[in-house]
Amino acid sequence: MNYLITVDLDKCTGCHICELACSLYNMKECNPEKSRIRIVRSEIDGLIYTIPTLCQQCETPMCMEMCPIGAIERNADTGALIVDEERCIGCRRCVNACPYGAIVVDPDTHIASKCTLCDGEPKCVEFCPKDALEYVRADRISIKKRRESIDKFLEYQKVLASSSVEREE
Amino acid sequence: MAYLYGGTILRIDVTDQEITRVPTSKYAKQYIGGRGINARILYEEVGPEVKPFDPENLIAFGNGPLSGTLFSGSSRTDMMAKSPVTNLIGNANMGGNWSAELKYAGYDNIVIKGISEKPVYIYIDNDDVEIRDASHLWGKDTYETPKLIREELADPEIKVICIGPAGENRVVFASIQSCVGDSGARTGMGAVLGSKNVKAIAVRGTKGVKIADPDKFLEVCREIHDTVKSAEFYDEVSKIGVMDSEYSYVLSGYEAGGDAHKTAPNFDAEGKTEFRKFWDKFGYKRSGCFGCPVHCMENYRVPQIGNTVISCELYPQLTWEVRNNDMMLWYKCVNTCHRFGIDNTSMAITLAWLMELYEEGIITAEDTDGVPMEWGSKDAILGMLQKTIHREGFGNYLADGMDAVAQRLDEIVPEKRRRGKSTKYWAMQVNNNPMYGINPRFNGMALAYAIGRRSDLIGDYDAFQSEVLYAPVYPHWSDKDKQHAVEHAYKEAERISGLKDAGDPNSYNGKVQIVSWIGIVTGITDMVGTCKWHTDWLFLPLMPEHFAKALSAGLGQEITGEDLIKASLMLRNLERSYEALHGRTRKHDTIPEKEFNNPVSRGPWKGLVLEKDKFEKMKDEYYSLRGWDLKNGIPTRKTLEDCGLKDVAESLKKQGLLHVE
Repeated sequence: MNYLITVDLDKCTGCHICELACSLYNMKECNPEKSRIRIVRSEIDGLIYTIPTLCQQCETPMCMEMCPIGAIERNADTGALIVDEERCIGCRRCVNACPYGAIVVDPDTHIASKCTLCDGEPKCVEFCPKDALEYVRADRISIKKRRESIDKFLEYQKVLASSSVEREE
Repeated sequence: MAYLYGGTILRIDVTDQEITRVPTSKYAKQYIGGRGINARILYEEVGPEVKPFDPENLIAFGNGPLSGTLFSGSSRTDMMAKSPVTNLIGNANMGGNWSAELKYAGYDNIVIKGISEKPVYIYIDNDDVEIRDASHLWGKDTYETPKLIREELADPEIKVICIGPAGENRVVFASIQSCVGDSGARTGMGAVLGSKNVKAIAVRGTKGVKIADPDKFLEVCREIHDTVKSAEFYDEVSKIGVMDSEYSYVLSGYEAGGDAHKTAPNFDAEGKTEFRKFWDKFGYKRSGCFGCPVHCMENYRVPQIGNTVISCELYPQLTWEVRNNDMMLWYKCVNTCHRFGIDNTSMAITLAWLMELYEEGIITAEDTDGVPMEWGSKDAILGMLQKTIHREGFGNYLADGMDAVAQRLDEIVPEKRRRGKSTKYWAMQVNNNPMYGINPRFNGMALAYAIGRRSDLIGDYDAFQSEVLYAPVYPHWSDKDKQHAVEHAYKEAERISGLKDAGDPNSYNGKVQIVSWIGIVTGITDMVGTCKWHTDWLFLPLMPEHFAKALSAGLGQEITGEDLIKASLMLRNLERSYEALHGRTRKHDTIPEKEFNNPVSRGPWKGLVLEKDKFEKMKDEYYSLRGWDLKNGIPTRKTLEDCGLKDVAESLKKQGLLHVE
């Protein structure tokens, strides 16, 4: 069964540690510009907003569909879409096709670079200090989401109960 | 400089718009980076004849070899100039994203000199450096400025540090703000940048940091992150920051009002502080600096007032220090400090001083533009803050610092009302620098303030004592927890000092060793470009060996913890010699006279006294430990030569300051 990296936006503090771990492991240097996961950050009127963006390993991958020479293939073990570095010609069709900005052509190597799930042990997940990133079995992502909504519902019930107690008092 | 470093020091003279580049290798071996390189350049180029706002004064910014890497807390920018507050070393250190970006652009330090004719900002895009017109940015606050620069340059990824109107107006304790929530606020760095007519430094860097042994470096960083996250204090600081500890400091008499403050607010029945309630109501989310697993900062959204990122000393200063219980007023003030670029600590301590003078009947409303300086008064706090930023009325004196205020008040207040003393007698300051609120009647604090390398304690902070001090008032802790905290603090104090009673606030033993050690550790973090919060400075466990391991893997050459300790001591001697050349001697290493032999008035440590003669003995002990002569507190020739500063010994000798050959 495939695993995927999920993002919890509420937990992300925007520390960029995922980018540093990714680029150090995969590109052998500390450089957010070369990371396959990217923290998009905005500062608006004194507040910090951050969102991690990364490859969703799409079921219908536009990068793979658009590649003119078929240099992107899915790894059978991890489910990750992998760029064949020998064959990639750096034409950027995948870059234009990806709806997430999650694949780039590296300015130094001139070939496409994207998340490989680190062969099933993603370093971004390992280093994330807030567990904002998780490596989850693909078929369980929605289960987790559904459980989260019931947790919120129960929390709400608790608030209601406590406020009714207050009213009675 | 193939690894870890950007490789270049950027030098900009804004008078004639000259840009030059110097290889970092000229300094890196001996001075490592960050504060080390800044201090050396300041020593070489800014002599005693230079005044802080002269074109010859420089302001240096530096990251460090570990900035921008996966090392824990790799976010720090150190900045240094001759200070308009103390006329000695001015130094501030801030987090954010800017430090890493500067490294990625290929630079380790930036040195700015001269005075530009018109307002300018500096734009660095990797190798391209440009000095651009900033007339349209002048007067803008520190929230608008980065936004306008990003729009103008059409690049949302640019990282900006800038000054606000306070820096433009040369308010001596103006800050430099980084992106959001981080300030280099102490000792007037914003005023120096403002005096040069430089509004901002905008950086975009994409080159990354090269690592000699990437796999090893990853392993070391994994160990370091695990070490930080497994620390006992990590859980609290990463979940609620230090807002509760700050509150406990206030309650225990350890912080706020230099003990002038005889009452303090309390935790409520549920153990919540005013800060916690404010956080519950207006908190948006936690955030942290680049590369930091601790995320010690709170993001707030308050309707009508605006957004602010808050941590640490921003909590107790404009609240209990000035006896302000109005959380909305506090928030408005902190927001104003951030936006207009001014140090909230200096402001609060200066206001608290005026409030004490007012309470004691020494000054009247007439002396301060008709505003009664009453404790907690909105007009006095927010009103004076705004007047200071814009240099209006009495704010014009406040903007020039405590000495200027004292001079003014001494002129207009009759001597009899002042009880024959200067109004400065009541000011909580060291060398004109408003002290942090932490109570100097605790002996370790007193020593740290007095010998502090920038005339305040925060760099040489005696963290371990604080746990002992505030444990009695910490409401979430059971008696067993309290006992545990105290035992932990005693154990740590003993580990550092080698003395069993070093943790005891009543004892003078071991304090010198602790203050010395914290100074060494924070010297290392400031040189390598990482956050001191991850060390003994704040109960987190990184030791010199951790930094050495990362440097070794990153640089591909063996560096030991001992090497870093030596480098840090060298830096201390360099900075001390610089200050000696600028007139600092033993007599300047002190705290306000009124704090001696004056018992703590409230809290669990009520009655504790700082004895002057024992304080002077601690200074003797500290000087001996550092290899400084006891009479003057200046490094001896042997001390300087042993750490490779022979030329510094020669320049001290030339000035007749090398008292022990």
